[in-house]
Amino acid sequence: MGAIQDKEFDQLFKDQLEHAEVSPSAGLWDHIATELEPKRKRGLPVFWMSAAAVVVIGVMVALLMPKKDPIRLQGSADEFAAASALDISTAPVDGVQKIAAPSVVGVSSAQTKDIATYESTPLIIAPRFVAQNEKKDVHRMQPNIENNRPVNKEDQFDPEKVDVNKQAVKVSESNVSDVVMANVDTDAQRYGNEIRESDVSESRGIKNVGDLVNYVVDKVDKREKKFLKFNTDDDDNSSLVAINIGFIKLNSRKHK
Amino acid sequence: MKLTLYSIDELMEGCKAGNRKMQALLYKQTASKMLAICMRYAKDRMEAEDVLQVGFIKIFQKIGEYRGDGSFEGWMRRIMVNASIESYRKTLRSLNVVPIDDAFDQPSTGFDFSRLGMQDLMRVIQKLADGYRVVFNMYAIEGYSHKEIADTLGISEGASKSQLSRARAILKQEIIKMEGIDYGSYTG
Repeated sequence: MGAIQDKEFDQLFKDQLEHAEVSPSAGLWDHIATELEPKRKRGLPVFWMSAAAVVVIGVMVALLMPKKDPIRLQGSADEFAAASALDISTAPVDGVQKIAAPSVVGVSSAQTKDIATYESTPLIIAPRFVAQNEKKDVHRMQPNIENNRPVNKEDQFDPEKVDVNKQAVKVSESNVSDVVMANVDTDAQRYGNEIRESDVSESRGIKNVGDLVNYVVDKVDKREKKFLKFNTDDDDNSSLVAINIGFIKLNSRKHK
Repeated sequence: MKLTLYSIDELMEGCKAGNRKMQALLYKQTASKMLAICMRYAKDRMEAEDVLQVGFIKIFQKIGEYRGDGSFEGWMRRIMVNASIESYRKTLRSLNVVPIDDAFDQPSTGFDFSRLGMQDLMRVIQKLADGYRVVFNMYAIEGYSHKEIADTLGISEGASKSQLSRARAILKQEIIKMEGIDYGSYTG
């Protein structure tokens, strides 16, 4: 065979290669399909995204929120009598009162210990109890709404609408006499060890956006250290106390 | 999965309508031909598959422009060739100096093509340096003229011609090498 002509040479390549086939790798079409029409998945991601959006908005609003009105102390004793689910009706009620641990009735021993921690705080918190008769207790715990004490309009409370399963339900606006629906989660142990000052805010009701954020975050994040945590102090001022996202872990000292 | 085979024109109509299933079927039916085109131009398989993706996306996005003049497969191939050339031109921007080879003689002894299959030729083509490879593909297989090659690649017609003949020489050398290893010395 002599030296091949250029044309023939080219033609030989063309004949063999023009209609050649080479199988592509398996996942290639998926990449193409994704490029053609990026679709967002329905379902869980939407939930997380909206929860995250609430948090983001909550953070922004909370940081920009003006100060709330100063707290008005309770003057009347009626509220305590009605509000207390415990048998302390014989004790004199005036102004701030601590609920003595020994007089607590109907509380499991696991929680009695936790109530003791409350004694060291200046706040009155209703101890959590396992509600035997939820409806009755809810009703007993309602404040006397006929009271014509000055109230913040936004804090009106409708007993009928109480969802006993909610963890934090506002009963009255006053910080001192704030008695809330106890956590009717029958698994008391779960909360037994976690009751700290940070959890106190959950039981005091949603007073501001920070608490709302906490509520949402609490539903979404079941860890001990939430990815975002606000704290409401005595003056109902909210402040961000913890951020735990991925490797970012910033917690205020008392919450560490 | 439906077993009925659609004709390429049926698939084309389905893709014009944006039917995802039709798009997937068109891909399944034509991807290996398209990839072979990309493999000829690319320096390796990875680049070839990248170009394949880009090419198909262009095909689906531009499918409205296909007016029925010429076969649909031919239209697809042109898009794939253009995507391949585009990919080559991008590599030009980043670094390349076209290698200046020592001039070397074309071998006087012949060689036997009949022993070489498609894969051998594909392999040999990939031994070419980028510039020679692209020019050889465009001229010998796609059938572009030197003028067209010059305009597309931004080189002179003379450069296109000389790159083509160098490409041929190298290919012949490589084939002889290949045959020498496989088949012992060969005399025409």
